[in-house]
Amino acid sequence: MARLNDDAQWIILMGFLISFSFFFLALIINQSTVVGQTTAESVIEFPKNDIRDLVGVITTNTSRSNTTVVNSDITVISLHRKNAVVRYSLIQPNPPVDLHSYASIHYNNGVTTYYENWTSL
Amino acid sequence: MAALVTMRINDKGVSEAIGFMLIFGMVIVGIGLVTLYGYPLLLQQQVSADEKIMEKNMIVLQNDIKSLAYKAVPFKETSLKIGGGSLTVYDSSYSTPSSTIEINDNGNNPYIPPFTPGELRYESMSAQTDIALQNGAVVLRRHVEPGSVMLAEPRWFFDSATNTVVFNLIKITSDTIMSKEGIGTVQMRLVGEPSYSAAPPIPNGQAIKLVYTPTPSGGRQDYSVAWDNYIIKTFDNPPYISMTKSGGPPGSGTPVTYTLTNNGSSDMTLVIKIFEVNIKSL
Amino acid sequence: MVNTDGQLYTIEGFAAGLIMIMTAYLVVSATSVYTAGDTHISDMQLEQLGSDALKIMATPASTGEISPLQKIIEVTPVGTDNATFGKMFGNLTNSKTGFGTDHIQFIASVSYRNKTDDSVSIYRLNSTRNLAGGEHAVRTTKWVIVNKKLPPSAPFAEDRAVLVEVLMWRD
Repeated sequence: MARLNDDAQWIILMGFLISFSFFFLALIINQSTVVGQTTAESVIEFPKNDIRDLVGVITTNTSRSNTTVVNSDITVISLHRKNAVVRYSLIQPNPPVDLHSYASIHYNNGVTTYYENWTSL
Repeated sequence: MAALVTMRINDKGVSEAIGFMLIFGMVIVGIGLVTLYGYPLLLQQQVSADEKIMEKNMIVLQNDIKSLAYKAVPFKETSLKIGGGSLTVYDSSYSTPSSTIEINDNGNNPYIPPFTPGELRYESMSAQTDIALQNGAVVLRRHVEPGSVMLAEPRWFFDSATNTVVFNLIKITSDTIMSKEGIGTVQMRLVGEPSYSAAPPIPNGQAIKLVYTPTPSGGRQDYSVAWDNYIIKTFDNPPYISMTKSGGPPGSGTPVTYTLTNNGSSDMTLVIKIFEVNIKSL
Repeated sequence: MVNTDGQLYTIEGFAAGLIMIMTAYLVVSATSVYTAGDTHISDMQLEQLGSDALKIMATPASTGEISPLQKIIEVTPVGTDNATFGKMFGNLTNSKTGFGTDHIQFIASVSYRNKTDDSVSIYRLNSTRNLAGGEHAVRTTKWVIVNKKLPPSAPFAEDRAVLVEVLMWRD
């Protein structure tokens, strides 16, 4: 006559627990699949380097001549090669009244819009 | 007395076999119930999970296209699992395009030839849902409803500081007709340099006319409601642009014309770029 | 006589095993995600590396001098190759701690504007190899102001803004 001993009921309990945890895990994984854009992609998409580079080239060359041609160069190439609408204006120093140069820079690539009012040291 | 006590605790009549059959019967009934009611529920869950996964996959593919077009990277590939339906590429020259876009000036002279974007479309078999990657956007359409919704937007924009309207049109082409189920790799490459149309400046009071013509057959591939919402959201920018809409209504299969009139003090610049993305394999 | 005490345990064991396998199968098949989401992390790093290298090259050694990148573009006639660029950029990007070097390949080009019709022309500056068609490349760019005849048929050299574009990949 077989007599089941009930010492191992906790095995059944654990079985239940494991099954339920499987389902919760499934729910969590399911939620995570809805995101299609990874963090790294968002970082790549944000034009950090583009904006820094643009501000850099505009502000480090305030003393140069030929600013009108350079301005059109930057505006046109930005639109063609970088898909960004760029506009900037530059005020060169006027010694001895004002020794500073000023730049107002606008950048927009459809996702990120950026404005800067820059004054030289 | 002793005999009675023995009688009471006597379990000689208990049959293990019958007990086992009772328990086994219960188990079978349980399994039956689960199969009858639980399994269809689970399948339904599976279908909606497949759809969600495909929504995500389409956004992944859209990111690839963004890299190709806006970062000028020559080649991208993504492996993905297409469940519960099939992914098909429709070439830009497909005979019944899901949409045709025309961009005209004030006098209805076209800036570009009528543009058909072509698309990558996921057609779900059981969920009765289509998800399409067209013109840089991801749009979703349920067959039973006339409406549609945009899951991820293309990169068309209006820059108020410079009074510039930018249309980035993305054309999807493929050399052969391709369709895929299950696990596959989508390889795409950028074809040539983007075509760039420099239109003459649009003075105050003049307009750009954007004509969106949905598929002539109407029906399932009409995504005009999603595009209508997007176009209004992006370009209805008073006081710089005043927008009027004629034709339609969206969802009825008839062309809709959006008239974008320049209300700004300066001339408006119109930029139309067309990128061609070739799907090498699915 | 054969002892039958273990029969029920066996059945129970089988049932439990089946239930667990079924659960695991359903769960795994319902949510299998095949798309790898982390491929872009290396892209991000590669792009930053290229951007940093170009930034170093566009920085003059001392005040009053012109930067190596500007010099390279100014001395190279449009349409000809410049090996100095490749050497410098290659050294900057491929250096590693320890022995050996990295295997970063690149194609560098320069974009400039034609003053007559506002179109943009591109010419190749230097490359380590050609694209075979399946590379996972990233693009980094750098603005440089150069004093050069652009296009080459221009009557005189003047200050112009050009965009140096580098397509880089690992192989």
